[in-house]
Amino acid sequence: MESGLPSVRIQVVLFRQQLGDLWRLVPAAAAAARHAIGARYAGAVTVAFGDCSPRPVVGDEDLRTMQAVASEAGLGALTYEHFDENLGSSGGSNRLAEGSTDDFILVLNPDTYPAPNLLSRMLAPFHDAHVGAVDAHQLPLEHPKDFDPVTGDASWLSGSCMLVRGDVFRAVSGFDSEHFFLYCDDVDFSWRVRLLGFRTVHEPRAVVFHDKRIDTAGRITATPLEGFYGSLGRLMLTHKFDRPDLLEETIAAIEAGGTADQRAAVDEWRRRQAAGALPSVVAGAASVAQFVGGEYARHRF
Amino acid sequence: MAARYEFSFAWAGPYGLMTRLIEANVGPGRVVLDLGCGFGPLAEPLQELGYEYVGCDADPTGLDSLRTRGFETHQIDLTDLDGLAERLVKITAERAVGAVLMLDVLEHLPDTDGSLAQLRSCLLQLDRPLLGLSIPNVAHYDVGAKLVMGAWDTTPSGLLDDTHVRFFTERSLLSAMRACGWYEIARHDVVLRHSDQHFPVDHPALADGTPLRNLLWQLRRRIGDGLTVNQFVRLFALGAADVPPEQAPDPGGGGRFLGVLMRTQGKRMHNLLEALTCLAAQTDQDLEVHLLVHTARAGVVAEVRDLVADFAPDFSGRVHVHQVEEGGRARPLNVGLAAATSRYVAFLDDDDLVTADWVERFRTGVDSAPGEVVRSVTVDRRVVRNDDELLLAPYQAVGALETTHDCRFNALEHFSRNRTPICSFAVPLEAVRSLGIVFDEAAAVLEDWNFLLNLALVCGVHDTGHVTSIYHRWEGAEGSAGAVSREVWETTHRLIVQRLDAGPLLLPPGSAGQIALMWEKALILDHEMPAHNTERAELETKVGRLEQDKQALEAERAAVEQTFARERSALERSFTHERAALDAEVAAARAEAAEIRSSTSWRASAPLRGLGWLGRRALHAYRRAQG
Repeated sequence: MESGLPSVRIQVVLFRQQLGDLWRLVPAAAAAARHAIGARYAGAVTVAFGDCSPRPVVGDEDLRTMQAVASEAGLGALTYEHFDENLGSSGGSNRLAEGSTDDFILVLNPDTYPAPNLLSRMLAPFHDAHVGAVDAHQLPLEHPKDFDPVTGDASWLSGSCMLVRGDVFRAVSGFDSEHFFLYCDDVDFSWRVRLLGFRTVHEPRAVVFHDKRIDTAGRITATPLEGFYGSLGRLMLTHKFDRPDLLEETIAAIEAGGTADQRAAVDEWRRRQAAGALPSVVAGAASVAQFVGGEYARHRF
Repeated sequence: MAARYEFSFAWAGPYGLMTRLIEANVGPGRVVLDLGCGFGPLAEPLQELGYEYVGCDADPTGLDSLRTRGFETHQIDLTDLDGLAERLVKITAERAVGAVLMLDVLEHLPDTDGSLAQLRSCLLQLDRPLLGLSIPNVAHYDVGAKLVMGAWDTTPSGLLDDTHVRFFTERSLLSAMRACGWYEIARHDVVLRHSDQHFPVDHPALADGTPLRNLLWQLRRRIGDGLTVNQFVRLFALGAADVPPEQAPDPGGGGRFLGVLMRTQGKRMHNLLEALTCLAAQTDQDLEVHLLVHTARAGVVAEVRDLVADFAPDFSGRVHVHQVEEGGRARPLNVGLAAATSRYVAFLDDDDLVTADWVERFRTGVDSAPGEVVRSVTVDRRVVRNDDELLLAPYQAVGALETTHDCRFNALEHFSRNRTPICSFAVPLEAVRSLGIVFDEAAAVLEDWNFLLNLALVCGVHDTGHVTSIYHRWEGAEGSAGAVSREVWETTHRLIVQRLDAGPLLLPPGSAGQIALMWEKALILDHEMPAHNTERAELETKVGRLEQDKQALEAERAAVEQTFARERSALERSFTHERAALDAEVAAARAEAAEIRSSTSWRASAPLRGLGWLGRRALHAYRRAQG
């Protein structure tokens, strides 16, 4: 590794992925690393897989071959850990980051494919010491959340592909995995980064493919877990970021016409409330939290 | 030699045309060696042109005839390949041989490849004279159309001579020749619209004007592969036999499943990066990409190559960059079609995007309906380009996804408008090649619509029903929709429909019912139209009357307003006069009052007027207290 250039750790949390998905992802990550190292944005790039699946997705032989491919392609190291428990995306990311001293951590979904320019473009905005985290332009479905067209500043960043300063990640103690298992963990993370005084920036020239499907009505096909965890995440966010009015409004709306998953989320919320297991309200929440309609930023479309 | 092969010479026939080829390509004074010469009908014409004619055949009947006409002859059995070369060398001795002819011979030889190889060996020793062949075309329209209908009528001579043991098409002839190192240098084929196989003349596949004949004819004509050639009359030169024989077509395609033809001008590198990333992220990677860089600038091509090289080698190794320097929008696509080696081909322009299952859905569709056009669904998205350098995003979406394209392909609807963007379908390369279908390079727009229709009507369309692509509709002038006038679109559409109208069409099952329904609706409309027209006429009359009433009322109103204005003006004038008089009267009274107040008696009575005022106030207070 060239001295003076930052190290990047790419973290991918797995849960019942197809092995083929990883075989597509590893060479792409290596190509992005090669680009960033060649452009002197990074000195070394490593990849860490953390597996929350009941049985390991990657066997020993595949791991050895992947490591050889990664090494050949210029990646510093490729590690794989089977957690033997489902920690969720937030818990898995935290576990992977434990003990890391890397300058940057790229939180990356396993259903993504980085374009060759991804890392270079995402690292570039960090020349501003106030930038704490950066996310990328998603393909084939551009995320509708608004961002400043000149500075890139955004309310929150997508955890499907988010590059964070290592010390910022550690300063906010990573994701709040206790209260956000899946969904909204990235919103909570972004707002806490901003509360520390750092900027969260969207870089539209950094490209990442995120495997989203479209139904015949032109809507993004929802995952089975989105109804429950998306709703629970919203309840947690409205509580944690001091919007009791929206919390009540959300509960009322779900009770009036929500799906079974959404009602289950309200039940879970109440269970945790009774158990005293809700997050503390964040001081100064109003300065960073944005609740616009059902979203956490103004949407452009 | 049977008398059936005693043909006469005619300049328009194969012998005459071969004589013309010899005359144009072989210097006079040389030997023309006619193998399998029969009665040698072109001996005299060649002699008259200054050639030394030598006839060779196994059958002595024709040789006898030639000898009596004064020509040199030799009895040679061409089926006896051993020692053939030595014999021919011996026959020609030291003479310069200009050409060796085999007219209507090759198709009679049981071992074509062996004969051609022997001939090659022989002609190498004769200092490489040209080889002239005349061979019947088994792919003449008449033969093909009859065979489709189950007929194979051999005859004593002609295209389906009952002694033929080998049959040649344009492609198989050239392939066999190239395999032995023979390269065609000139041709003068016999073209007959109606061959000797044009019987029975009323057969629906043969009779001019029947829809069946016209359909088959137009399909064959597109291929242009010897549709009306009765006899191949060709001259070949001997070269190196280093070209492998053409492989038999592999029904499985041989190469990868999908070839993706991607047009780019290298002007939108960010969009190109995105489109390539979408392909690299496909769940089914059995694909090759033909990146068609439409530019004359080598620097742009180098930039594109650099971009491709940035991708992981497992993907970039399957991206083939082609520079296309000339032509319109369709030229790169035709270059791509020619370069593709995959089973199917699909199309993705550099500014559109696809989901990860784009290829996978095509594959599933092909598995269900092999040989058909496979069609998925596209959604539209409006986007704008950011030209301001201060803005981070090269472009941005400005709207949600729009579902403007149907999930199911309807051929009849497609005659009216294109409902299938180019990024939503894949076509079998075999159909493209065997039907000779290409993109129309003369079209400024709609080249994809024409291409799709030509294939869809013949191959059929299988719908996957899945949305797998996003078509970017650029706001502003960018994109063909904005760059081309409406008139060009409409004219091109009319041309496409006119071409379709030029011949019969193959419509998919269910079309009759659809057309019947549409016809009935049209009839109902026709039936109801007179009543509607009457009603409309009545309404129009009524509207006319109301218009008249309205105009009358407006005139009346104007008159009233005029009267009102007049009277108001008069009143105002009168009022002004009266007011002036009153003002004068008031002024006079005031002057009089002032005069009184300034008098001595008024000032002297002032205390009395003050007491009177106090008294009135006290009385008023008492009354208020009394309630």
